[in-house]
This record gives sequence, structure tokens and C-alpha cells, in this order.
Amino acid sequence: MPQLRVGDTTLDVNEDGFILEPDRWNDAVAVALAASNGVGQLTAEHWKIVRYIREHYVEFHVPPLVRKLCKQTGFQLKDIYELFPSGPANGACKVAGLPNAKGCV
Amino acid sequence: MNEITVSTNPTSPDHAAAPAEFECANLAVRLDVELRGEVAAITPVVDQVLGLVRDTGCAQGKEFEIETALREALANAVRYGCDHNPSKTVQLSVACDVERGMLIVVRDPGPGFDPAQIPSPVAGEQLYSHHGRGIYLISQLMDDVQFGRGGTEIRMRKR
Repeated sequence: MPQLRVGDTTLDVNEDGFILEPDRWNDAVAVALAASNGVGQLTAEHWKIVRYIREHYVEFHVPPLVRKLCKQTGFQLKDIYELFPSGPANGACKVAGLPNAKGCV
Repeated sequence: MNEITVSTNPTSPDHAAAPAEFECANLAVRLDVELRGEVAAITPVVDQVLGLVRDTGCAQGKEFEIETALREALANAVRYGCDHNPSKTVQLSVACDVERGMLIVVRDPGPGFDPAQIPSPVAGEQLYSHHGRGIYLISQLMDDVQFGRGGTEIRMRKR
């Protein structure tokens, strides 16, 4: 089972790098996920997207639709891909600690 | 610099290599692009393709789906096919058929993968987990998605 190391703890991740226990997500985990997925240092723009996805997931247990993500955060699709090169599903949702990207279309 | 060829004459010899399932006589426009294997090369090419949608009316109204699927496919090609190496190139072909919509072909120079391992569209959550290649998103957004050349080529169509 692949693992992600965050400080003194480790989290199990699936083969695509999504954490298996989304309840253990926190800001430090997001930073570690970003670093291990080619996102680099998280800026205020990254956090705006991550926070929105996270709050949506906590409330509805699914990620927001990509259209809704763009509309609610004010970012265009190309902005999302420039901030998260792997895209909204494999990039932003992963950093936001979702267990997969199911339902994001 | 991306190398871009745009032709609006479907009977020219340049169209000899047009995607087989599209009839050359019906092609409104075809775009061939080679882009560097880096993330920064993606947006200018996507803008070119969206310009085709606007200018030709091909798959009009489906810009969001096309942009998302194209960005996913190109991001995969840059990451898995080029390993973010700008000296490598990704090939993109776009064809517009007045009746069948827009066909997009993305080909990368990487090792590919076994397309036979891709779950069927009815396989449920397995689609969410396939090496992070964005296949789920693409399959949900486009009408037809096929893989070829040992997984180094993806063909997708939108009406």
C-alpha cells in the first residue's frame, strides 16, 4: 500500500495518490500532497480552490462539478489547470484530501 | 514554439493522414500541432482548438467539454508521455466533420499503457482509478473515446 509521509505520521494512499482516510486531511497533508503531485508551494489561489472543494466535499460527500468549481471560485478552467497541472480531478481534488474524483464532471 | 498547421482545403495532400473514420470530403477544417512536452505549451494549443469551434461551428456549444477533455489528454501526454521534458513533443490533430462533429487525436512519445486494462464504461468506480490518466473525466465528457498505438494515442470525438 503506498503511503504519504506528513511529519511524524503516514497516511495510506491509493495507486493514484488519493488519501484513503479523508477525515485525516489537514493543511499539512494538503502541502504534502501538493509537493508529491507536482503542484509545488500552495499559494492563496491554490488554497481558494482547495478550500472550496473541501467544504463542498464535507457537506455533500462528493466533489463539486468542474463547472461549479469555476463559477464559485471565479477561476477559468485554464487557471485551474495552470494551478493544478494534473487538473481539477487528479490535482485539486487530490490535494483537497478527497478519496477519489467521483462525481466531479 | 509550437508548430501549427491549419488547412481548410480537405482535398489537399496534407489530408492524406486524416483520421480514418472521418471522411476527408466532409472535413470543414483540420489542425495539426506539435507541442513541447511541458505544461506551459498546453494553453496556447487549447486556445487554437477552441478558436476552431468558434470559427467553424463544429461541436458548437460543447466548448467546456472539449476544453476539459483536451486539457486532461494533453496534461497526461506531457506528464506520462514526455515526463515533462520539453525536448519531447506531443502531436495533436483536430478534424471537424460537418456531420460527425469534432475528432481530437493526441499522441505522445511515451511508453504508453495497455488499453485492454481500461475498465468498460459500466465498470463503475474502477474508472476513477486508472493510473491518474484522467480517463474518467474524458470518458464522461466526450461521445467516443478510443486508445491506440499501445496506449500512446487517444482519440476522442464530440458532436
